[in-house]
Amino acid sequence: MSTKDQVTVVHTLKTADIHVPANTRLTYVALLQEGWEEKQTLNFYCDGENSEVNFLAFILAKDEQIFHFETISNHTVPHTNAYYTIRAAMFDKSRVDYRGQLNIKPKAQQTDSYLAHHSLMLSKDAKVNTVPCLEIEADDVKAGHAATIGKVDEDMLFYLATRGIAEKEAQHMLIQGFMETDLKKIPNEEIQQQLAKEIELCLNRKQ
Amino acid sequence: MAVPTQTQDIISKTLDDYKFGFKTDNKAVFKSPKGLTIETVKDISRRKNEPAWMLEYRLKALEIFRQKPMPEWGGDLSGIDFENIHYYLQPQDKAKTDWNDVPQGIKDTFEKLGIPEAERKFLAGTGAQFESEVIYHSLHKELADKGVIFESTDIALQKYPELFREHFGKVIPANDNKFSALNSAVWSGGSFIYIPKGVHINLPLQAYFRINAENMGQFERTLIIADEDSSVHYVEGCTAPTYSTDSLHSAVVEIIVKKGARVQYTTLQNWSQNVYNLVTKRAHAFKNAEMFWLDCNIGSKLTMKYPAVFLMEEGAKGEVQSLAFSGQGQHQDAGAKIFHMAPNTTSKIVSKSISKAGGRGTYRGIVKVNKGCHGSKSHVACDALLLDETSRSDTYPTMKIEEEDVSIAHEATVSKIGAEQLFYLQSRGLSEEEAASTIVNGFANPIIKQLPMEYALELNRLLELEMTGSVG
Repeated sequence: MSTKDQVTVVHTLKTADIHVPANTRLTYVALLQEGWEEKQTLNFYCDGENSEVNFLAFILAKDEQIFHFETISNHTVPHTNAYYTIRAAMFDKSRVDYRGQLNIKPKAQQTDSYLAHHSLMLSKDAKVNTVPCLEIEADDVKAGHAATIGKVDEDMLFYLATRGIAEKEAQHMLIQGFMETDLKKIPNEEIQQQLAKEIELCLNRKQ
Repeated sequence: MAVPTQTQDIISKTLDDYKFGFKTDNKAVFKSPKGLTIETVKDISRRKNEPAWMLEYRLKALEIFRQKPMPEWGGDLSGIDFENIHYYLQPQDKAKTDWNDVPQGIKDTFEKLGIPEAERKFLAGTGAQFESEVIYHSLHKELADKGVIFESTDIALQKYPELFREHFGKVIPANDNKFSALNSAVWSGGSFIYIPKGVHINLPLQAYFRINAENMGQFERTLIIADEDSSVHYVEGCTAPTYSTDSLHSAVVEIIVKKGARVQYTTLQNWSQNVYNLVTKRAHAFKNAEMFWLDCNIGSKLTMKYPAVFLMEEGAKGEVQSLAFSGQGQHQDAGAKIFHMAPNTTSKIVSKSISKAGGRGTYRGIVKVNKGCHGSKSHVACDALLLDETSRSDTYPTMKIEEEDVSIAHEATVSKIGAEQLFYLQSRGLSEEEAASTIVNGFANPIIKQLPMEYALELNRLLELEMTGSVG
């Protein structure tokens, strides 16, 4: 049976229980520019076989904005997949507090799951707290997570400078490149282009 | 495809066969009654003839212990009955420096465990703790001549009161957590090590900890001070007999690594499966110093242990590598903590866990980079191998980053023995069992190969799966 694609785009995160039915791939895209303080918890349930969650968050964190959220991925039946990707550009005194959990229950064999949180530090005063957790109770599964935190590569800025691109512009290009890697995971080109435009606008406002 | 049944059998035989489960009949010189009261603490201090400040420290710690709630995270601690434990058990009158003076029963125990045979072969010094007291201590004469101190912590308090008081409880204060408070109240034994400036000890110093009695609490206290540009490698091993009731082991280990010094602390924890192992271990590393924890957890009912390194000054380096096996009824909740508190500090964490027969392996750790600590680098890698469908693996890493100019990476994987891997090895002529055992060994080997030879051999024996059917 073929898999049905569903795409949801949001601009803020609110506590919710989200159930993904059998034979469905849900791509849940969040482009976040305005923060909030209170923790929001998104509970994803892969209840049916061949269900898949593809969570993509793109965060442009500025000023003293706080982005405080948690994702919990619940797998109770075999053959479900889950991929969580968070990409955050950290400006000013912004902060991201994220906790991501993958719960793979004993019956959820053949689950393929991965969680990644990448942060680009653009200010000395920004903060990132990340807690990517795994609770695995089935053996025939793939589960992994990764987190990276780093700053804009000086060598790349230098390279772009030698090509006559000013530092600010070069930085924007690198941030766009940083986000773009995962924008491509959205199974709808129109939405990809729309979000890329919004990211560009946001960076331009940042001047 | 799951692990072949035959291979599972072999793993069970090798890992379940606990050869240190024997007990020794030894009449204690003194055994404190069960339960923890102010009197117990006063009695321990009186018997050790301690200075007043230490008694005061103990009593204050007891108060903190009573006030602090039991931790609600980590493993299941509900089985610990603090009233059903002997807090102090003195096996002989005082520590010996000649092996021949050690009482026969105790001597037999350690001979069976391969000590001091090991000492004769490859160690610079040995300590052996039986129940609450260090019963034997030795150090090569040339090291003693250079000013190296390797004593039981109790003796060090008497012999080097100033050096002791300057450093004791500074890295891990009594109020750090409930179990560091308990240890501070009733501590006994452990090693005190001081390495003078510029002295390098090429062979490891070893301490061996043995719990023998039932319902016993062992609370050793270890303090290692590596002065500027010195280096030392300390190895500890622990075993206990198998009883139907639980024992408690709650140690505190404090390490001070001064400018340019290096300390490696290796643990091979193989307690019997009725021991709660709740240990606080922490090091302070100063300018260009290096601290390396190598932590292997095989035994115990529940272990909660997260060796920590505080990188206090520029250029300091911290590393924690750990290997954990969790079998039936076991929970290894282990990990690492690194705090970057100065610029240009680096850290590395490698954690590997193997779970089988319903065992649970947990990695729990934190990497924190304080504001202003530019140029900090950290790499964390956690891998878990699940050998059957009843076992469980958890990973709870935390990263708190408050600085822009950093490079932090974390990765974790959970896997089983893959069908493709088995197929590949079998296509090269290995049997299914050999292939599975090769994979388990390959998984654990990066940690095992860093152990001193004797310990590596012991661990490899535990993993010796290729001897199909003949092991056990």
